[in-house]
Amino acid sequence: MKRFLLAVAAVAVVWVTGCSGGGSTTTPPPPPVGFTNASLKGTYVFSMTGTMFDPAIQAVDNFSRVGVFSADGGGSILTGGLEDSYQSGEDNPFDITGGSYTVNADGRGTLSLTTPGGTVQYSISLVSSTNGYLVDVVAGSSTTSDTETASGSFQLQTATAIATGTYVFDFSGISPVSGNAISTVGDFIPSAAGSGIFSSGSFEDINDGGTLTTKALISGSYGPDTSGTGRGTATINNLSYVYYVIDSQHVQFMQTNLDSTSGGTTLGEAVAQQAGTPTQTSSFNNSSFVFVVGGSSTTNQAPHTRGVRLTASGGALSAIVLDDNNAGVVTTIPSTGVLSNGTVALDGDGSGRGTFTFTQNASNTFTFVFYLSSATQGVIQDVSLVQFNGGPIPDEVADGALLAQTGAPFSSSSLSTNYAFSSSGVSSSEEDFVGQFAPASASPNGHVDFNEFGSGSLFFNNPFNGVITVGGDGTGSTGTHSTFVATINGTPQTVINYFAYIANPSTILLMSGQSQTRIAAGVLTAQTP
Amino acid sequence: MKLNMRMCLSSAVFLGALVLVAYAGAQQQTTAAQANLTTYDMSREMTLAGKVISYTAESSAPPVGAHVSLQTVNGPVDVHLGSAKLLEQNHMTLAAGDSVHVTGEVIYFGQISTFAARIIENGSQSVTVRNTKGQLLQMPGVHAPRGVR
Repeated sequence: MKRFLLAVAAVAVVWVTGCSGGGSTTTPPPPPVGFTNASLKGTYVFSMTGTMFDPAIQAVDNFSRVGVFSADGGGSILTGGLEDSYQSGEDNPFDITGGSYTVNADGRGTLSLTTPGGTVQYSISLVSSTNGYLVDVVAGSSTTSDTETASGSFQLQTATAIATGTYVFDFSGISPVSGNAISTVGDFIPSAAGSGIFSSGSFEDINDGGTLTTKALISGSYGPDTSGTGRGTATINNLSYVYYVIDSQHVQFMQTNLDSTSGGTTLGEAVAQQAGTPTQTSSFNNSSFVFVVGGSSTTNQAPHTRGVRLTASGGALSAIVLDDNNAGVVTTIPSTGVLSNGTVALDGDGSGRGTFTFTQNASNTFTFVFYLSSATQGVIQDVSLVQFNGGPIPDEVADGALLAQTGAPFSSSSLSTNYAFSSSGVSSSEEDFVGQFAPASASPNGHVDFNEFGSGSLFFNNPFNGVITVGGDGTGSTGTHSTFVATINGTPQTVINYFAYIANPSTILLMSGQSQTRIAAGVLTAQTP
Repeated sequence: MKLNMRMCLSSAVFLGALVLVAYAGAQQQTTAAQANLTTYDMSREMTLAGKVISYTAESSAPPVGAHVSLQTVNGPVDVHLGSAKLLEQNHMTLAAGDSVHVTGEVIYFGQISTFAARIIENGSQSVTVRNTKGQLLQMPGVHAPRGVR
């Protein structure tokens, strides 16, 4: 029976190929994707981090926001939402008293959230009715108090209490305590649903401006407030956080300690660890991963990103390629081919913690610590060392999502029909992009909104052409890169070259590459209206 | 006279640094000298004096950020200033022909060397763009994508 079906399928393929014609083809216009205002209905948890001109200190400052808003499915934001906005060195909670939104057929749209502090405008791009990406598009100039940019995401809320189990987390940003760029990854185990303490087996790895803390035990507590919105507060090793529960698997956190040295705070998500998460190094069997970490250099504080693909088998790593963008200087290691001299180790204690280590040469060893939330996902932190002032320190403070490659080999025909596009980075100042495109459609095949921090920096509904080029089998296992080129119409035209790390046809991680002075990280996510 | 002395001293030190960078750049692989120049060291600091040839807030050449091209007694030098917003906030403008002094040193970003400014002085104005560790001020980092599923 199987052979018969295969034969039918083969004939069908030949028929389709033969009937498609051998001459010039006409690329169809982008298909209607099918989103409407009704696609955004319910309560969503949102989060973002960005840059603003802070009138309190008359200087550029970092800020973050987390909260919940409720959309009615018809273009209005309902009362009853909340947000915590961390700026000027402290957290300020606001009620969301209203607002509005629009969702176009392609999933892009606008969102405005009104609080007693004013109304903030966002450009959005929906991945589905349950999640999407956003960019803060408040207008102004660098000398007025209302200039800001930020990027983030939103997810449909389906639960309001922290569940039991193990959560893996990644918090990053600027430490309000030390004033340094900071990355914290780890796992915590709630003692009970709703409220309680963090149980033994909870650990964290911290890179605080180049000072590493390795697998420190976590103590602390958590519990909801009285708003009934899923908002709560937590203490993790004496640091204070506000959190919003997204669903039984995800919780959004933001640090709320008063700023003692310089602007900013940390933000991140905790993800429930799934059954089947590998616990032993031997579980890795030709398992390929990609990841992009973003942050800043410890030695010069310049923006810094790294993108990596590798294959883990037992305790060995192979087919390793690392791309490095240090302040716009891009280096691929190795320059041709792949590295094959690495190791992977899982701690085997149920935390999901492990390390990747690989060596380029005697002076260049790269090390990353990760916590797995499943066999295919996790969080990862760069702890690679360089010599600095006579001693080794991590050469960057950076972290990101770790994703397994599934569904390989990849090809242009296996790509999704439509992608939501989100990217954040630095080109002189912070810049944030959110858009949508259909890779197989004629140029321009999508639209993008972006915010470049500073005067006259907002761009709306810009036509752009997104081209994904799948290199080799798309996995990068031979050192061949896949790329994403975003050509944004305008005067002058802006071309952003990304390395594309394909996790699966629905999720492609991005890191800005050659031929530009831009340091950015992003993601393409398949849309499902 | 004091200024001339400072300029002469700076020129000599700068020339030495350029020789070192040229030597390091000639090697096939990263040398120890080059590796040491990836980090800022106050003991290597020097002060350049020169006239502004051009200023760009968003350079098309790395490292990212503002650059000023200076005509010095040893020839043109590209100086990395970092955050253009920081200069704007401090009302620092750099026009062709301005006589400026820059305190900093040569460092490497990957395989590319640049003169990294810590302090730039234009007339009576002075703006610190790096701290004493050589870390750029008001230069944002990159956020990895959030909400990836």
